[in-house]
Amino acid sequence: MRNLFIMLIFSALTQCVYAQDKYTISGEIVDAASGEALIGATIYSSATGQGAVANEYGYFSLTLPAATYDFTISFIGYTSDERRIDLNKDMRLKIELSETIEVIGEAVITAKQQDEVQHTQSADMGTVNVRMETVKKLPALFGEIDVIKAIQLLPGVKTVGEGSSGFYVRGGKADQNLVLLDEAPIYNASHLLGFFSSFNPDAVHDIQLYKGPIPAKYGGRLSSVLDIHMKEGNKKKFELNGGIGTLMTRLAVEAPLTDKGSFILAGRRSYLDVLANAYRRIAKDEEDLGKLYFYDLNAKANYQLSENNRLFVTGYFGRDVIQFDEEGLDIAWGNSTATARLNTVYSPKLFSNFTYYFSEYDYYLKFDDDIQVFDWSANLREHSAKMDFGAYLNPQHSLRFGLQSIYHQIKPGQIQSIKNDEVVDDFNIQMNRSVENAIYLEDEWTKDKWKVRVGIRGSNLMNLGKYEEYVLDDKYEITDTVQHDKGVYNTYWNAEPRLSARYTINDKSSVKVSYNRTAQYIQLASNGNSSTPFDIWFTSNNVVKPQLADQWSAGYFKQWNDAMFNFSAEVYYKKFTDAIDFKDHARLLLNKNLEGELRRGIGRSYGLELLLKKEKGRLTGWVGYTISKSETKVKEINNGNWYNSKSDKPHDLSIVAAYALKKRVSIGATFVYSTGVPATFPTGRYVFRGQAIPIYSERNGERLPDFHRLDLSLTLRSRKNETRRLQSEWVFGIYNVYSRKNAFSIDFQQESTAPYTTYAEKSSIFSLVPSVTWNVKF
Amino acid sequence: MKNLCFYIFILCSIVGCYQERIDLDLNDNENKLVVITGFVSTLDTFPTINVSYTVEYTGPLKSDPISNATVEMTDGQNTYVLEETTPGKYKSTTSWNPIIGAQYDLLVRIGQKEYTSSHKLYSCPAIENLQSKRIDNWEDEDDTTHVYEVFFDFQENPEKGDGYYGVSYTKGSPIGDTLFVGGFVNDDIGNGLYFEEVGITDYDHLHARGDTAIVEIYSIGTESVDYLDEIAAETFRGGPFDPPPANVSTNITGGAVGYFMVADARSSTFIIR
Repeated sequence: MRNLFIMLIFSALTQCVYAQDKYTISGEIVDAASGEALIGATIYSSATGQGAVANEYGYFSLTLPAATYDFTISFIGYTSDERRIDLNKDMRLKIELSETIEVIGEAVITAKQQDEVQHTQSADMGTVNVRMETVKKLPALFGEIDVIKAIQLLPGVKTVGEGSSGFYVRGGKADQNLVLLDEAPIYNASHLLGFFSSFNPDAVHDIQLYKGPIPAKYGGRLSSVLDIHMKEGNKKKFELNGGIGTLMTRLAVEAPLTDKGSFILAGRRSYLDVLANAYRRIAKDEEDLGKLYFYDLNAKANYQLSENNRLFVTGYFGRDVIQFDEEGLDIAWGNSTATARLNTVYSPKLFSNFTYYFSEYDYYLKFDDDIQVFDWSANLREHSAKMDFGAYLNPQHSLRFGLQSIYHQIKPGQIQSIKNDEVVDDFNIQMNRSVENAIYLEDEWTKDKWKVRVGIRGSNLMNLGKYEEYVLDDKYEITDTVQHDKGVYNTYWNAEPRLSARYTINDKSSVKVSYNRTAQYIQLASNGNSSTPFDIWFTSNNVVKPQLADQWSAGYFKQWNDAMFNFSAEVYYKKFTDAIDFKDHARLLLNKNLEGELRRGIGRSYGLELLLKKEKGRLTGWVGYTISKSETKVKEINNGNWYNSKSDKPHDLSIVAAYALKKRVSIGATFVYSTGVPATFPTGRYVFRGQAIPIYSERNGERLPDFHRLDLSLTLRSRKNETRRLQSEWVFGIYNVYSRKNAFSIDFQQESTAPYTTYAEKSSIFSLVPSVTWNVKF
Repeated sequence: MKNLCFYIFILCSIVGCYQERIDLDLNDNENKLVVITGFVSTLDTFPTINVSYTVEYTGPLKSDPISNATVEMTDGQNTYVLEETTPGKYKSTTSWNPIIGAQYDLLVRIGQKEYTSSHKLYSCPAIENLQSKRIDNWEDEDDTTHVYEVFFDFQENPEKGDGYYGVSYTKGSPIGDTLFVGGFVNDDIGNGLYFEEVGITDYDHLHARGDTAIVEIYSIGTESVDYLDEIAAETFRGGPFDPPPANVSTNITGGAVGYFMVADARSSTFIIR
């Protein structure tokens, strides 16, 4: 059936080509040094004003009438390639672009057309592509480059705790972001309780964040998609990248696999425990300090099976470990993913990507006091198969369509108490299983000054038995149970329309509007002010309806001075339906009746995002500012009144700059300012039986003090010449240069001498933090 | 855990985390709420109700009593009028004749405004087989004498909806009126069972040999256990799994805060040997 479907499309596309005497130029645009695909690179004919953008797999297709064209092939940070092509037949090209090396002196000539196409001429809004070269220029906490910390500097993206690698997009929650690593979702994208993200910068090629109209191929989360592509591995030569930093060491090896493929292997490990044990040894203390570390491993290989088929295999494994033998404490958590992808070019105008992935997040805690063992484990597993097609009908018209099926299996928690090798207590929250399906179609066409992209995604969730469902009364108490046998016992369907349109004012500016609906069927049971590794995901079911979000946005986009400067102003309004929050005093940990702790309501967020970017010259960077509001309303919470969302920070400013002082010396700086995060503080108290009881005004009704911080970095690179393969750089950084004591939290304490006398205490976690990192490339 | 603390210390040394006392004026003096509290047990001869306003959260604890209120408690058969003995404290003028299973209604009138509450008097089982045990390997090196806790047996009522608050303290100690020296539990698990060797002694207030230990059990019902549970959640904050701060519930109508409960209670004494 599937083959017949493809044949029909293939046939239609072929007839379309020859009937109009047009030919298609297609292929890949790659990095000349590594052979890596350049996602988002463009091929553009200025004479016709028509071009194409390489898709997320690096493939492009452009169909034009037979003629001779002068094409400009370009990509940010790469020297543009001008070439004349006599298009008298279908052509398949592999175009190589060389990275622009020197950034001193004259303003670097790069990618004027690409910027025009992407920034003002595409239908994309709220979409940001972050290149690792940009991320590497920014100062970083402990000198450790972090892709998620970089996107936190963009307008509309917020964080609620200093140093945290969680992020919140346009009023959404942290679990409303779909974080993908080579198509596989990462369910807990952080290490060391959130200070570092799970992504090794040496293994990451490219990051795409969608916070506005989300393309129809993505689904399952309400607020954003962070699509991270791993490097493919150097196809031309052996390459080694690594670094030794204040808290961790990393190493990545990449090399060709014959002349048809390549691979990359990358790993990181933190060594706080190694440093601590070394300190103890110097202090001649024999006590074993145990282990506290994290590590992650990335592996990816690709192989050209035939001219039209390429296979990619990706694996990720990350783990955090806390282990103290003397105390009998053993805690670990982490993600694992495996992805296999097959890219197929059916014709110059029809491209497909088949993906299978497996993703798992799990944790366990073990306490062993030599008498009794307490063992707690939980996990989430997901298998998925999906098929994505791209049909490039003509330069003005393209189609994307596909389908996906995901099998979720969640084991929320099992606790065993073991004494003398016998299980004396076994507490097990039943496993739940579900299947999430989606089918989508997206059509994009250009006419005169308009470019319109219309998509529809049909999604559904099917809860699977065996499962014991709790029947709740109006007080959310369990009144009965229903036993569901094997098979589907509950189904939800949702249609998710996606629309974005661009109107070109002139060749330098445009306005865009968009609307999109997203549905979310799996969410995180997290209730505290910060996520913990022990939060568990749960699916919608008979009691918990899927959450929906509708977002409307409009924006003005402009670029000038040969695309040296880009500016955008976007306004958005987002409405959440069946938004969930947890009741006051909710207990989520190992709660069999988690649904009884949930309350349903509505949410809204709206704001204005301004972004001014300078992408060329000695000074590059951006200024981003957001003014926004994000609120939730639930009948049973806060007396049914609107209350601030956890991420509601009305003012948010980021200034990011990188300046090339000399050929081998550059400095980087970031400054961030934001309104303090909402908090709930007591405003009064009374006494009951000797106990002072706080009175709170409203949920999230107060705020921590405003947050601001300046970070600086200095990068010194080794001399570069043809005969020297080893390149290295020293990166010196200062995080929080003026040692601002930003509040991480405010708690209330009692005077030790007067227990009823209370005072407020502010906790800060980062003062001035210097760092040194040595990076090497061979 | 000691090692984990060491790592936190190392990390904090690197990053410079610290605490700082700050001035934070959050006190809402313009929107004070009426507070009505009552913990009336069958151990009391004359029921007492406290009526006041909420006071500032930070700084020393002040009191803001409400005088001249009208306070009445009734079980449907008997009405008890409570009169102000000291500012804000209202005490029954007649001795209490508790009726197990009765619903007790409270009415407080302040000016023209009325506040009401209601609570059932649940029966309390007897405290049986009171005994003490020495805790082995007690690690408090500063105090090697206060190492005894008391235990008792207990027949839980067969009906659902029971909840218990219990406290164990040394006679003469003022801690008997301190909420979290005791513990509380409802009958969700073990309804109707006979419990043996139930221990409720707070480890910060263990008994010494020769002490007269007092054990008190109050039957307060499930809803009141939930109330104590919420107070505990708000009092002992700071854990990674803590929910956001929230007001504890109240069973007082009319916009007041506080709680009214009546409890059948048992009290036993035991000399630690």
